[in-house]
Amino acid sequence: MIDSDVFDFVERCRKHTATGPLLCDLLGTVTKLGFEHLILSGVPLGGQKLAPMVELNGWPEGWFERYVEAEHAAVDGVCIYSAKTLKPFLWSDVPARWSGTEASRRVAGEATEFGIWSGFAVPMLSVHHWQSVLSFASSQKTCNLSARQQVQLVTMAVYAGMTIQSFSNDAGDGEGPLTDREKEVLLWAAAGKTSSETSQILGLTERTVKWHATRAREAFGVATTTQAVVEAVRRRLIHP
Amino acid sequence: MITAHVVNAQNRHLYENEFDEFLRRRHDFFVHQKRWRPPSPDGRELDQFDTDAATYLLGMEEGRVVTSARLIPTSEPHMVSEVFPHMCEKSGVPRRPDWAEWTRTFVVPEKRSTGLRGTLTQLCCAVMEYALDEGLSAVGGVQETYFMPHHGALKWHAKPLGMAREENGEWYIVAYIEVNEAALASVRKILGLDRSLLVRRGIQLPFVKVNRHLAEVAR
Repeated sequence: MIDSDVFDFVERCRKHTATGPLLCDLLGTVTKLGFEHLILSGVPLGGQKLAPMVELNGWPEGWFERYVEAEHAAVDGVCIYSAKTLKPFLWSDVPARWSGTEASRRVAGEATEFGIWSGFAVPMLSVHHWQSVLSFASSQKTCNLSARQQVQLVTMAVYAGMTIQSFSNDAGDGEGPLTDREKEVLLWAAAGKTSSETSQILGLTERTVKWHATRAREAFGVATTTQAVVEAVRRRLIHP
Repeated sequence: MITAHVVNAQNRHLYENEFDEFLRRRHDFFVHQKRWRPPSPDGRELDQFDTDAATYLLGMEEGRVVTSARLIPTSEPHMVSEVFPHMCEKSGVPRRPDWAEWTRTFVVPEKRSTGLRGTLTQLCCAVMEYALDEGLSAVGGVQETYFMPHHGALKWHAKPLGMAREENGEWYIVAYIEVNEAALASVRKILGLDRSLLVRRGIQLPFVKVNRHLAEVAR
């Protein structure tokens, strides 16, 4: 990879306004450094759930679900160390105290079933969480990054992190993508209620509830109400 | 909420106590906490860039200096030109009177809230307001990469002048933030603020001296 690839990515970051295209762009760019997968997430502390903290999910299909379901975050040395350092690090450099435990080794072993063998992580400030981390994963047994490649990777990680923060909607209410009613409908959907049940709870017709759900799906450009719930949680518009 | 006092070579005599407190807080932060600088016997931290070319914003709250910024025209010797020129491999070292190098920012420990409406964001708002007032185009300099997402959260745009780099065990990047009305509006919106944070007392010097001369010629 040459430096101008990095600066071109930085330039493109300015134009990204949604997570999907940013993720694709970053994945496409870091492939040149040997990384096929990545995740950008708040670092969970003290039993916090990982899923709602994830900002960019470029993990292999199935691995994220497994990781969340098995609550690997609590024992994975890479994840634990991400909360303890401010500096970028190779996964292989995580101190044995955290990476050498049986549970952490088991997570690392399971990851190889999904083609994840080695990686590099960049911790960053997050305004919502303790801190966040952008973790790049490779199918190579060891990460052979030159000093220059590390520099390139950190630069791109920092700009990806900045761009993600610029998507969040902290600046005042009233201008968010969802109305209060749409948020309410999504909250009840998150609680497992059907449109019919939600209509009774809110004193609306079922048709109106469905209409609000449709508007919420349109606001995010997604196909299902479940996706809309996930997106609303991810953007911190609702807190189920 | 802070008020940010603009302190320069002409009005510093009005801020003797505050300026001394500022230097002591700098010593606390840059010597004891960051360990970037050797201890000074008098407990005050000063470097070669504390000259008459510097303008300071002292963030005051309840009579105390809680945060600060030092702004130096990049047409003068500044930290990037003298210490980190090798980190500007993309664009070269900036040398523009309307590009200000922003250094010596700390927040006292009691005010380091993690939220986006805290003291750091208030200081950022004051710097952007000052930069716009003075007709600057960009503010920035060498920054810790770890904190760069804060600019994103303010919806600010920061151009890198080179790659991020590890120096003495920490990662830095030289980047300059674009100064414009939108950048001020977004940080004010986050703070829920519709007024100035700046206080200007005594004689005020224009930051961009070249423009003043041009203006005089034009007259």
